[in-house]
Amino acid sequence: MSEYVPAIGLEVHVQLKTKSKMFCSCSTDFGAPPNTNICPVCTGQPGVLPTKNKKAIELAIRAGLVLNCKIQKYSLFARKNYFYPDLPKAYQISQYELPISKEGFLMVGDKKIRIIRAHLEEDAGKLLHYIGSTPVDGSLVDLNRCGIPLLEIVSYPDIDSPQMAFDYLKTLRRLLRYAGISDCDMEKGSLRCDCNVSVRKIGEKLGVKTEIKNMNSFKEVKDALTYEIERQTKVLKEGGKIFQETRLWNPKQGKTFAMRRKEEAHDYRYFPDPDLRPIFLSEEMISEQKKQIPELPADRKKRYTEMGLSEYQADVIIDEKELADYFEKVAENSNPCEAANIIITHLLRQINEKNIPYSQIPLNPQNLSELVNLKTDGKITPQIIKRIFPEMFEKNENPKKLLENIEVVSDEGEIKKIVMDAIQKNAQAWNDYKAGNEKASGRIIGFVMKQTEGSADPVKVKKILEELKNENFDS
Amino acid sequence: MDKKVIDKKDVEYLGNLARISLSEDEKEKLYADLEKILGYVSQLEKVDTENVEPTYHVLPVKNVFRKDKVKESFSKEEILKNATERKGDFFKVPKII
Ligand SMILES: [Zn+2]
Repeated sequence: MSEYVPAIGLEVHVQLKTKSKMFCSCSTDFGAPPNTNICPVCTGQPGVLPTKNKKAIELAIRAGLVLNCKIQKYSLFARKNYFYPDLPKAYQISQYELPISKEGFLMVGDKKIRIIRAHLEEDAGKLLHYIGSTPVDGSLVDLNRCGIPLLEIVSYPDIDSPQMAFDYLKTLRRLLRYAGISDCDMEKGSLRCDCNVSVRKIGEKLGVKTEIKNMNSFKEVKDALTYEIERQTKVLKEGGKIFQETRLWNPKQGKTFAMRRKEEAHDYRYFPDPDLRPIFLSEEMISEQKKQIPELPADRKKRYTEMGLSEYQADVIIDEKELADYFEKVAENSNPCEAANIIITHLLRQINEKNIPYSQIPLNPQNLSELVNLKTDGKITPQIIKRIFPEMFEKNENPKKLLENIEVVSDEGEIKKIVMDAIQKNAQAWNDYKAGNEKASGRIIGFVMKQTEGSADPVKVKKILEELKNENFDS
Repeated sequence: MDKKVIDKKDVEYLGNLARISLSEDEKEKLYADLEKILGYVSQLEKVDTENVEPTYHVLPVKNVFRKDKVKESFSKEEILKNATERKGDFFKVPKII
């Protein structure tokens, strides 16, 4: 066991859900052809002036509120100066001394992760080094992303394992999606995460940290942290030293590599941007955003467990707001636990197999509640549900209508005949069952279900089996 | 002046950060200018500002926001024609990795 413990702080950039950019009216559309959403402001032409997007400010306030931050009535934009071809102005407009919100926290399970600050800034452009798979003799710049509004959420180093970093990201993502602040889609670049990580012996003060970048999924964040913690621990155990540096995650090799250290790389010479007046937030603006906050995932989870759902069921259902909304519509007219059960076992399977977004579930909730009611009334077996569900899902069919086409074998005399046949063909299982091995009945029941394509009522089958056992029926 | 607020190394460092190359003469001249400016600032620093609100912007104008509405962007041709070099619909710059 290692006597070193990690301390992890995350810097998460999320794209605020606006139609236009932070300081100009260019579109934020994802996937637009290169350099089509650009104008003199976001390409940094001389003499232009930035103007603040009200919606971006509102979403930043809302984010501050759901992250339990202090909202600053007065905040400032600052220039962060550096040269890079994805940044035509040679400075990024960000917030430094006076961010829009600070000192909050996010509950990850029972653990409180404190937030240092959440501040507004603009995104940079994109650099390409290849066209298709052919390398270019220079670098190509697409400025469509340049000026897209971002919120950078910086946590304290309160996270103490890669798994907790993963859970923090999942919780944060869910929260921001519920509140309509960001889509948090890593594939579309609307969420990015950098990690600060150090290790120390228990009881000692924080060690020297490294910053890791270039992770493309939450899983990669977890993997990169696991690797980096092991690397640092090994270095220290061998008597070495950790250097404060930026390291890049290489997913193919599963390792982090030190970036070329550049002198003065971190002298950003922040100063208040004279082109932008400070932001003054009124009580009304803040309370208006409070009103825009819907019921959040943690509250929903609590309500669902009070409805009788298990922790696991509630966690699965609240994962996406659309799924939770769907569940509520089903549970309005049927038993919530059984509804959750059928959603998790059958609905989610269909959704995952067919890769359908939650917003486009073809089966309407009314039809699903009818199915749930048939189940709770004992009018339908799990086997039948399994049989009819795919068709029901795809065609948005009423379950009762589908049942008309299914012969349900409920006649006891008929079931008994099939059971006796099954016993004859599974003599060993029958003898085991008679000898007291309850599990052996499963093979016989399975045989019956196969013969009847799942349409025999398993309760009745079981009952008949017991009767036959008591009669000491001989195969 | 009581103490040195800037030395020649700082001028070189700033030139470097700003990606401009400075001749020895220019360094001398900038050094002299910066020393004067910073000397003036250090004079201001002596004023007691204990109960004075900081001025972050010279104009006493409150919020001016823009509605989140997409307006027609400039055509990419119009913007790209200002580029030193282009390739297809991209700006082209020296290789950066
Ligand atoms: Zn623009």
